[in-house]
Amino acid sequence: MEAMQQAVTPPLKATDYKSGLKPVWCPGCGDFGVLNAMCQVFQQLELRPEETIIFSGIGCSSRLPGYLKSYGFNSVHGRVLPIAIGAKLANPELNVIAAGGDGDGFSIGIGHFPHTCRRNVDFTYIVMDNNIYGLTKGQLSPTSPAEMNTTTSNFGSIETPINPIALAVGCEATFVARTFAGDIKHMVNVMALGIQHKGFSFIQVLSPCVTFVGKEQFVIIKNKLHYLQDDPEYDPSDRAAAFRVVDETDRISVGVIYHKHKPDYHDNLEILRQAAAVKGDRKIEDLVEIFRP
Amino acid sequence: MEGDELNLGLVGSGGDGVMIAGESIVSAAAREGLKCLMLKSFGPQIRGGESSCKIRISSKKVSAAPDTLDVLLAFNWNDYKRFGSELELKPEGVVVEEGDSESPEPERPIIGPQPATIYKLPLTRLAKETAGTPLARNMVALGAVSELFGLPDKEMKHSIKKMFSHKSAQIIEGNLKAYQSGKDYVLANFSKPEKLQLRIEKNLEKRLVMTGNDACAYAALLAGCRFFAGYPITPSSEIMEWLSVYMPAYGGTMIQTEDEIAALGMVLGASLAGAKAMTATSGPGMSLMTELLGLASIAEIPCVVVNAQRGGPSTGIPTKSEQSDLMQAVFGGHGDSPRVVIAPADVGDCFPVMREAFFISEKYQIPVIVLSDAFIAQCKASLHKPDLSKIRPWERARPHGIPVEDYKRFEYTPTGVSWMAIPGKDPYIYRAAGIEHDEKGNPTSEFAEHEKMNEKRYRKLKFIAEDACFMRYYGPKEAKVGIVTWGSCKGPVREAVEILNTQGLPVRAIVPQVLFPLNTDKMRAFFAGLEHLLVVELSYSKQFLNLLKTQLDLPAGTAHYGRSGAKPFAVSEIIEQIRKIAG
Repeated sequence: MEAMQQAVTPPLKATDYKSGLKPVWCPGCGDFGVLNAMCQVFQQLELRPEETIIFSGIGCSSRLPGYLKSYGFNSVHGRVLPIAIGAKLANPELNVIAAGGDGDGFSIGIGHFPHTCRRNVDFTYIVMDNNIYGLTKGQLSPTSPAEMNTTTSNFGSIETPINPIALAVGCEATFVARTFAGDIKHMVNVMALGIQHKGFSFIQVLSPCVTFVGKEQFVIIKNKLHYLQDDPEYDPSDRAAAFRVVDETDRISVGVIYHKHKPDYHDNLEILRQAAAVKGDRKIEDLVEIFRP
Repeated sequence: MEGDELNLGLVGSGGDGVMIAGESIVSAAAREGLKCLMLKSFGPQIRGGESSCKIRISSKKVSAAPDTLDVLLAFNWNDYKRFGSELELKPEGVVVEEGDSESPEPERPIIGPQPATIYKLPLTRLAKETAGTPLARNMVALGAVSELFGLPDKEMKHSIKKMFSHKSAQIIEGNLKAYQSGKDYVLANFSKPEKLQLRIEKNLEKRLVMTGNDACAYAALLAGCRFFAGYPITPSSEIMEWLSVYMPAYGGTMIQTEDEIAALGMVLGASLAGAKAMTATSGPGMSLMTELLGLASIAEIPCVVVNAQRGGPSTGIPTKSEQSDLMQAVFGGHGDSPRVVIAPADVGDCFPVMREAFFISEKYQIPVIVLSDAFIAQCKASLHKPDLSKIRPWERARPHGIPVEDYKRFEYTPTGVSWMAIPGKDPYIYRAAGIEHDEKGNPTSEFAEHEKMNEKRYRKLKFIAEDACFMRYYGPKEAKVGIVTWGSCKGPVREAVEILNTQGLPVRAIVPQVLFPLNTDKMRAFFAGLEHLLVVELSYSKQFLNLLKTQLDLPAGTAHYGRSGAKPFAVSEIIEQIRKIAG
């Protein structure tokens, strides 16, 4: 860190946050927009690459860490949340961001989601939700709408999809937002709020798959968007209001859906450590005496 | 009673206070400086079921649980039925039981030799008279046992006081009175069995008491571990419970996760961010961690995983010991994924083994599995104070002195170990991945890169086998009969070797502790000059034998003795097997 402090640290441009590696995504994929938005947010919040780490699981969107200039870890399918939590708890000074797709987060990895919400560790989880398995070429995802035809639901899906926002609000997440890959400005605003939120922030990005769902999705979603920041009646601290948003079918509300101030995991851990400190009032080597009968 | 030791068995129902009585004896023995070992055994009930313990006390060495008992204290003969095969008496063994001269003879379903003497005491009546509650009958029994067999009285009283130190003065007083009433009853009614008196050497140094789980937890803290994530599982949960107190007390983090996958996930995240991190589990949890263990291998992230083995597969026998997770530890998982496997051989041994585990994992950036087992994990042993100065933390090699753009996280080096930058602490940003990558960490699917990376990751094992090899040797070097064993089987094997040598059959044994990568030169050196070799393990499918065969050629005619776990080897059992091969 000394070397870092001595070095001159000129302000970075948004493009400086790109690694230079060419994304494997299909032309027109929503994830390009997410990548660009993240670069802009990092620049806006002046996150230093050497103090920032992006975690991901497996899937199209989980390739993201490779394209950003910061520390990164493209781990295994479904386990991004515990891995990100471990890093943040080990070094609370780190800027920690987890990213992934709907399959990674809400199928194989869903078991970790409620626990991540209730722990309220201070990091941001961005799910690029495209309602399909893209990397494995078009199978049903847990957020695929009912009756959707995919390579594994040839007669239309007969299952009810997961509603990620309902899940997050229900699991006591302290920051829940939705945004759209077709609106960079909105993504930047929402991501900035999420990253600045003290505690766990969950952001669902509607990020259409142009190859296996269709590029018309951009238009369909755009036409249904309802911007919550333009709704003077909407109060993101009202949990009941948040639950009404999750049930909407005629429109898609985007923006901060739910927001609550609460001590984060680290605050609670510090209190716990103080309470435990009486047990650590001697050198670790002398602790051996507690085993004396 | 053979020489200087006393072997006791206690059995009863929940509420009889079997474990409190057993632990009081162990504490008193340790304070007197005696070597002591207590093995607990439970029925399937969560609370209130039958339980038993076996205690071995000696002023000499104690390596294994008692094969057979000098004294059986039975609070309840119905409960004995559940443990009969574990609680056999020696031919001169005696029984202490509830009753008086007027009560009818109970049915005693004793397997094997019948008791030479039966001491009946009105445990319940005396408990009510002295402590005002039948719950104190274990204290009456303790007093009786203490007086009958010569346990150290002053230390017994100290142990009882300490055991109830969180209770009111009245309760402590009641328990001490109950204890005394047991002693008085013996003095008034029986003569002490002369052959069964515990011989105590004077002025021995006081000893500590801990379990293998205590030792693993404390040793981890000493080794600099400040992050633990885990999920409760028998028989390893006490590691997490202990660290839940002492990890935060020293500024660290202990977090209980939603499952074992999350546990190892958090450990890897924490380690990547620079913490010395570990988790602890047993077989079923180890299975869940398998995929992430592969991630630790390919992304070269240091981590320590303790597996306190139990009977398997699946739920198996959670409370009993077995050595059947060895193959999983070494080879479990998909892909070619190098890891290191080290096994402690007894409770005290958990200290050097944990030290070595953190040393290897940090120095070589590789996952290390510590294969403990239920016997070591749960066994309460009296120990000499471990040499804590030997626990030396190792600091990870971090990049320095090169331009940031030249840094290669996965650089090919002669040892296979590359500099590992720490996010937030080093300016050398890099990307780790479970996906195959080049030296810089960029994804690749090329054969040539994959081959080179595998070679790099496996190269470390050659150095580890030299650097971190430690073996235990027993018996004279010139012996022609040799034994190879591992883990907690060391106890009965060591005693068998000692007994056979005094009986005129020279035998030697080797207990490799770094099981993978094995130092094959040292193994071959041990084999030199042997006429007979026996491999001993608690695994039905010969996992240890098969593992040895994957790493070196065993001498022609190598014999094997193995069986299922759930019952530790008896020393006599090992002696019989050695005599069989030695002719």
